[in-house]
Amino acid sequence: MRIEAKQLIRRFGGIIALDGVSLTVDDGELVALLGPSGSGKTTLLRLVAGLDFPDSGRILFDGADATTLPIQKRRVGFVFQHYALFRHMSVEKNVAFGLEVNRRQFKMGRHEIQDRVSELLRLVQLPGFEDRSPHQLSGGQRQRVALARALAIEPRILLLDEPFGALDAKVRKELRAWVRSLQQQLKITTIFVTHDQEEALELADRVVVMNHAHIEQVGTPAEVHDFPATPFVSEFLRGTSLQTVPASH
Amino acid sequence: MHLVGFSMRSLLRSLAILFMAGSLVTHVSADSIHLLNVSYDPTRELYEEFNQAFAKDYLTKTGKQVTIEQSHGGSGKQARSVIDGLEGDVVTLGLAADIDALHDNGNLVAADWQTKFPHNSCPYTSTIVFLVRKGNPKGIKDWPDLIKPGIQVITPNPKTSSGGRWNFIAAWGYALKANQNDESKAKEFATALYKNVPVLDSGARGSTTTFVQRELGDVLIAWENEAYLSFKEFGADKFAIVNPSVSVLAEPPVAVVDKVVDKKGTRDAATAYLQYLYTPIGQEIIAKNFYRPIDPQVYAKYSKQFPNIELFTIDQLFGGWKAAQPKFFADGGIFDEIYQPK
Amino acid sequence: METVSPIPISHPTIRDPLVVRATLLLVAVAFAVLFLLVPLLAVFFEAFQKGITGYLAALGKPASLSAIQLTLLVAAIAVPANLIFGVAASWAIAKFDFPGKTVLISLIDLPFSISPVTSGLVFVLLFGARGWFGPLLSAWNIKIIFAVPGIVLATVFVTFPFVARELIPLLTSQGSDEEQAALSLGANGWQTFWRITLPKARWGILYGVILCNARAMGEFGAVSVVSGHIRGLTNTIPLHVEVLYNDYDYVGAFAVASLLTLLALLTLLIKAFLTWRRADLVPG
Repeated sequence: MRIEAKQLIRRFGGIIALDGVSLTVDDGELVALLGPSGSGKTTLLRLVAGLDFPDSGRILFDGADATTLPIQKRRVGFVFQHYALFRHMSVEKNVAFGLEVNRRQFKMGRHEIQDRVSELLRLVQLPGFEDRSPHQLSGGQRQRVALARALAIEPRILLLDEPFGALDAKVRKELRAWVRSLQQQLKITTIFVTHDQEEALELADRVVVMNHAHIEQVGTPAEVHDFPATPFVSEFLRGTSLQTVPASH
Repeated sequence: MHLVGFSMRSLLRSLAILFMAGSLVTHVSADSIHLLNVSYDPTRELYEEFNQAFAKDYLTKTGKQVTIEQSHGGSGKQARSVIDGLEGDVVTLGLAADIDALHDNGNLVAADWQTKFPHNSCPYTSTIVFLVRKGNPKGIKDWPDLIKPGIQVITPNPKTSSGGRWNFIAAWGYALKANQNDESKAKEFATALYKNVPVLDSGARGSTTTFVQRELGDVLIAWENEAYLSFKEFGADKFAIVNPSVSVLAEPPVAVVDKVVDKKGTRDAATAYLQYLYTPIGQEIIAKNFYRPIDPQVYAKYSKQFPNIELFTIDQLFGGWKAAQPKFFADGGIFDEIYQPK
Repeated sequence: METVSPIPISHPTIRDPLVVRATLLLVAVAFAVLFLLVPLLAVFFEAFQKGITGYLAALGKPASLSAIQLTLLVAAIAVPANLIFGVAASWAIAKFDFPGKTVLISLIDLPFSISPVTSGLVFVLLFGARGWFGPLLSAWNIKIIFAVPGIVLATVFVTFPFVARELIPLLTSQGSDEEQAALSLGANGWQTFWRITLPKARWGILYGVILCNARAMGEFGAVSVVSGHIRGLTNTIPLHVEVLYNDYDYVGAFAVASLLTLLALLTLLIKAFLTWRRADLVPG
């Protein structure tokens, strides 16, 4: 699905978090929102998700106005930085949650839901983890359960907020490559937020560099790396190397 | 999460059942008469026995079932509760001033309530005596011994307890008699006396348990009946009763609370209840509980348990409670002047 | 760690002289025994002075039974009322910003900072015959003070903070990520509340409920003021204990008191279990 953000403005009290930001993400594209903390990248992601609403400006999904659409109707898969797994539910219940609260919409019986959950757990490489409790899982495993849960409702967009931020370096590298391949396999429009330059350059089709509630530059990893449009981008990306990950492994 | 929904439902159901049970309890058999007797502290045993006798008598005479509920506490506190809405059909309090308060605050009884029953509406009298530890180790014989240094005196708070007020009046009356009616001497005596008081309980029964159970103090200034009751409960091997040379004739009065009985329609039963106190059977129960009956015949029969003490009345020395109450016990009165809480 | 200390690290606690350790331990144990265990045992010792039949007979007296019944009724109303209020208030406080939020938080604490006697007197002032609403209630023949409703009101007031106080920090620390995740998965607000917020806080809620219940059943001061002390009608267990004690019925007083002691022990046990259970629930 194609996402258009037009002149988004969002203030929190006296602080401006987004100051007239416009951005278009094409269908099937994987876009990174990159910037230091406080640059407005998470705010932008939350506006797209419907977890927050702009003071002015518009958001279009495939050309249709979605600015005031409640989050439940947007069908977005949102993965939180700290996973936000339902701590009192098993892995199976977590993944099945979206299907169960929308039974009418999905028209799935108990067994169909079970099958779908198993299928999703296989997809995120956690087959047979149905009866585990979230606190029995490692950080990387929790993140993958969170992803499976988000994918269960067949979202039109996948939104990831610092998805690898809480993981250690080794797991992060592995998971990155895997997310990239999964995204290409599912061909789902994906936006992820990161403050890690290498992560953005390595994963994304296009990188959106943000600073002080503005977009500094939008471009492919090679463009922003080799031809920084502003001194900030040049400074922010200094010292990073450009390497691409294989499409699948 | 289903568990939460379920337990919520079952909780509501059990609540509903409890409510029904509760309302059943509070509305037992509408055809029987319920009286509430709001009384002061030491009358618990007296009315427990008297209520049964009255209920039986009333049933045989009228064919009506009557249940009497009791509430006990410091007399002043109890009066306050009735003023605040405790629906006592009758009050049987420690002194007249507390029933006067029912007239002054909310007109719950008529101004002339004391004329409604014989003997100024006092079906029994009592006096104030001393209870000391076995063998009287501190050698307490009369009022002057109580103000000696190092003696601990237990007496209730005159602000909330009628017993406490009678105690005060008895002490003051003694001091007046001993000092040719010199008020300043009486004040000196009372000041010295309350210096020896380590705690002021809110009711007479509280003071008794302080002295008897907590074993605090050398002497308890107590209602005569309260002293004898402790004697009976705990045996003569623990305490001794000392009769002072002079004491007060305490006259605990009773009254029907007009406003309550008119609202509840219980005037007949309430009146019969208080009248029954004056019958020979009522007087007999009174004497057995160590109150002094006013019926001369019953008194004669029990005279052995009531020693001869020179007794003065509140009317003789102070012009009645209407004068004594504001002078001694109102806010800023003499008691407030002489007593500093510790 | 770039340098390795050549000296082995000593454990200071082991180095402490035995005398010091023994003394400290002895003091702690002596205090616990003297102030906790002895009174506890004394209650049961007195209660069973006349044997098990005496104990049961004391509990079986109509006035005792009615006190037990009244206490259960009061708790059965006060605890759910404060559960509903506590959950609603702490949810609102933890999840939303609204004007007067800090005022509400301080208000919740009010019953803790007011003497129970004062709390009771407030209700007398409001609903007493000479109180603000006294004449109105009297005209409609509604009894609040010196009757069951007054006792319930006073208990609700006194136990007001328990659930909320337990839940506000819990819900605040748990954050709203899980709720947002539920919303993003298509759940509506109601589903989110029942399926996510409530269950994830359930041990905290239970903890608050247990404490609330213990206080509701054990409250003396506030209830004493509004009770009227009518025997067999408006005496709760704690009030009835005092009545029996003042009647020189020591076996009765301590038999009834032993119920409250048992309740306290049970509360302690459940508390311990809940603390253990909640420690188990690390964030997902």
